[in-house]
Amino acid sequence: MAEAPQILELRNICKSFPGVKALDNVSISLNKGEIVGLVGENGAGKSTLMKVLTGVYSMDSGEIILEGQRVKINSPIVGREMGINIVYQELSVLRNLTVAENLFLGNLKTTKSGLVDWKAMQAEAVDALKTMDLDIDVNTPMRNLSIAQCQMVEICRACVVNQCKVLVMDEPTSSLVDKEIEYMFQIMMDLKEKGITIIYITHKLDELFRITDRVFVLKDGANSGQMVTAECTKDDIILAMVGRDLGHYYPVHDGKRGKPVLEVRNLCQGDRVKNVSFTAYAGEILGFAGLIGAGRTETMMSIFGAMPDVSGEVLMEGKAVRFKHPQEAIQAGVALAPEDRKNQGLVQIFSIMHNTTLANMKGILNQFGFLDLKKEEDVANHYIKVLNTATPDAFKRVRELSGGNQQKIIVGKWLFTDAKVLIFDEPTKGIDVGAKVEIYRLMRELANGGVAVIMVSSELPEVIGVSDRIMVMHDGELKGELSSEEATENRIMQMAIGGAHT
Amino acid sequence: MKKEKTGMSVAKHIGEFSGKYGIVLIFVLLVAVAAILQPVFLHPRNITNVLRQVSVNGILATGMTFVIISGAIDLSVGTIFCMCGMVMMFVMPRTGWMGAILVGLILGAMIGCCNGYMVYRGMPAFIMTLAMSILLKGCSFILSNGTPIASSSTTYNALGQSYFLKVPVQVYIYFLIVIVATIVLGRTRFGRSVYAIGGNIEVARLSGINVKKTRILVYIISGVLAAISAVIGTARLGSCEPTLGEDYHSDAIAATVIGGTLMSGGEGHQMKTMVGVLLLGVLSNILNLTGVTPYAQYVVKGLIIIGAVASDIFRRVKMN
Repeated sequence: MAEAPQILELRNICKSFPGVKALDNVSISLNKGEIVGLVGENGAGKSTLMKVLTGVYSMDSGEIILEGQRVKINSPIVGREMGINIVYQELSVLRNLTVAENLFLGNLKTTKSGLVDWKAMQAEAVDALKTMDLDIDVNTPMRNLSIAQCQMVEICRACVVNQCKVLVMDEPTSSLVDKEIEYMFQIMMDLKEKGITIIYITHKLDELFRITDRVFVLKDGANSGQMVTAECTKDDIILAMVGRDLGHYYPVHDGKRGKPVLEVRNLCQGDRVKNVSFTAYAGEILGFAGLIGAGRTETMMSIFGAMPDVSGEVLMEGKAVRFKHPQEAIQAGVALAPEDRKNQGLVQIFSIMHNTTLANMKGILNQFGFLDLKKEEDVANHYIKVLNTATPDAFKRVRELSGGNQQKIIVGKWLFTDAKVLIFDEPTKGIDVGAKVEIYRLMRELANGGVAVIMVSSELPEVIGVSDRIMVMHDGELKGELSSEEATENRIMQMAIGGAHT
Repeated sequence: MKKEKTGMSVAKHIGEFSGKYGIVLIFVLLVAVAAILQPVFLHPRNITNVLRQVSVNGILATGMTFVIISGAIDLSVGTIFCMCGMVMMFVMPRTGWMGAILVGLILGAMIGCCNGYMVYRGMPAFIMTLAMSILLKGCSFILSNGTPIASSSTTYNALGQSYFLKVPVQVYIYFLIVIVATIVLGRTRFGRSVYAIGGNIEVARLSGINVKKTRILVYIISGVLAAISAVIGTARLGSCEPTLGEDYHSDAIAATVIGGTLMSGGEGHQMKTMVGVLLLGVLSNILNLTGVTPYAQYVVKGLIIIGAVASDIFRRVKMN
């Protein structure tokens, strides 16, 4: 195969922040029209490297060579003008504006008199969407679009309107369902055909094999591997990422099912949860699969007392309970680690210590009824040790931690409540493989220790690999139950899209 | 990631130190400048004078610190002050001074409860307390017919005018309130809940914190402290008039933010607010001693507030 011409090279990039060397002589090179995966654990330097490339950060030393020319990218605007665009994991669209306005954000067309030329912009927006075969009305406000559609508009803005040469995609599929991911890949292949080079950042290693030509691995701010995708295995990549063999990716199912702990009968919530009934047993991991929006989160939040308009029966260890507030659920021994770590899981400006004890302040009172700060620190340190959290001390603010470590703080927080039922909603979303494996093992250990673990997950291999039993939801209803032996991605998918009961 | 030792970490430590104690340093500097410019500043009489002057604002700022840490604001403390003062003057001839104080405290608590409940239900705190402030101002005028009402008890007045061990009584009251508030905020579940709802109200709710109770209690504290400061303020004057306390909320907010409390909530300390209160007090004292006109004093005060808060904010932005 003839080698395509090189389009971009990053050579010996170094970047330090106070006290930390974030990038240490990192080099990558890209050829025209290829899709290159960029992987590494959280904190490995992927985002920093991309911020240097797109001009958000200035580098300390190193060179960027674009189409054979040494270039200086000292602001995102310069980067964009040179043809380097980025689509972030979190949407950067203005939801109150229309599709057309978003497409031309930052370079609105104007008429001679200096006013915005709406007509020309609309016409161009229609053309732009057409080149990508997107069927979206340019006058719709962005807030009416799905996340996937918003992302398509962003990609369209980068590739068609800004006519970029290199497109960086930072975990674009993390909020998408399978069908949308397929569509996203289709569009990526089309862009590749058109000669656009894509740098694809992801934590989902399976995707690398679907879409990329080559993979660059970073570890601790330095290059740690570069491979041709077709010639390597998932284990090769993992080894380069974590520098050690992770052993079994999913832990062995070696628990024994105990007594029923949580029984749910005919749970309804508004029109999002319809007559859901299930039982969670001690010693077991119960998985909840389904598409995004199937009502799994709402089901868990309803059990936890965090939702209005809930009806149905909930029994804790055989006794009927009705939680009207999370406070009551926690007291009864139910814990819920929510999907959205940033907005629901942790107070970002709090220290690790304060977050760890937030759900059980009773546990750190002294004999006079005041908070015992020494005891609090001990508790936090205990969970840092048990969960192997990477932090210098318990006083560090959680917002400075990586996603995986934040998840561990959340787990520690709920362990400290002595929960009998622990609900994890998408526990591995956006965290790196090393931390994922640790979370899986931890859930298994908890189950073996007699806790009823419930895991909501949209990643099918994960649900199948981790759960003992799997509930599949579709449109607010339970569509069926599968044991881990009989579960396949296919069968789950059939149920999840509303297929027949089994 | 690799740590770079020595130089970097020393600079970081200095940065952390000035971040933690920056406002204290500024305060010490201000006192030093004052002592050099006007040696009379250090006279015990002048110092107790400053302390007496700051007590009213100090007590209001203590309440404001609770409110701002909880992620809200209370623009009505000045008019709660006035309303409680008017009502206490009004009922004192019938109830006696102790009864009057009791009525004042209950009224302050009720107004705070009302603010807190409405904010809990989703009213923006800014609007709710602004409207409450306007409403109370009207009530004060109606009650007094626009004229001052005098206190009818000399025992009551003594609360604002007498001394114990050469220090004004109100200074003891202020210090006591700060100590209690520091313990409540730093060492109780309620205090931690205040930080939590200010840090992230949804996380707090999902962690089993009673948001409703916390929100309402914070505003009750603010209302009651406004009533206590009204006792001191009106006892000092021996009367109350319907324009008294009108802009007290601005000094209370200023002292709180100078003390480094985040306007967005979740972070702050009572002791640092106290430094903010003292800083403002020392500042007006110096300006008075050096003969700066009251008009120019406003300008200087405004600049100092901008300077103190901006230096703090710029540092934070840089560190992130």
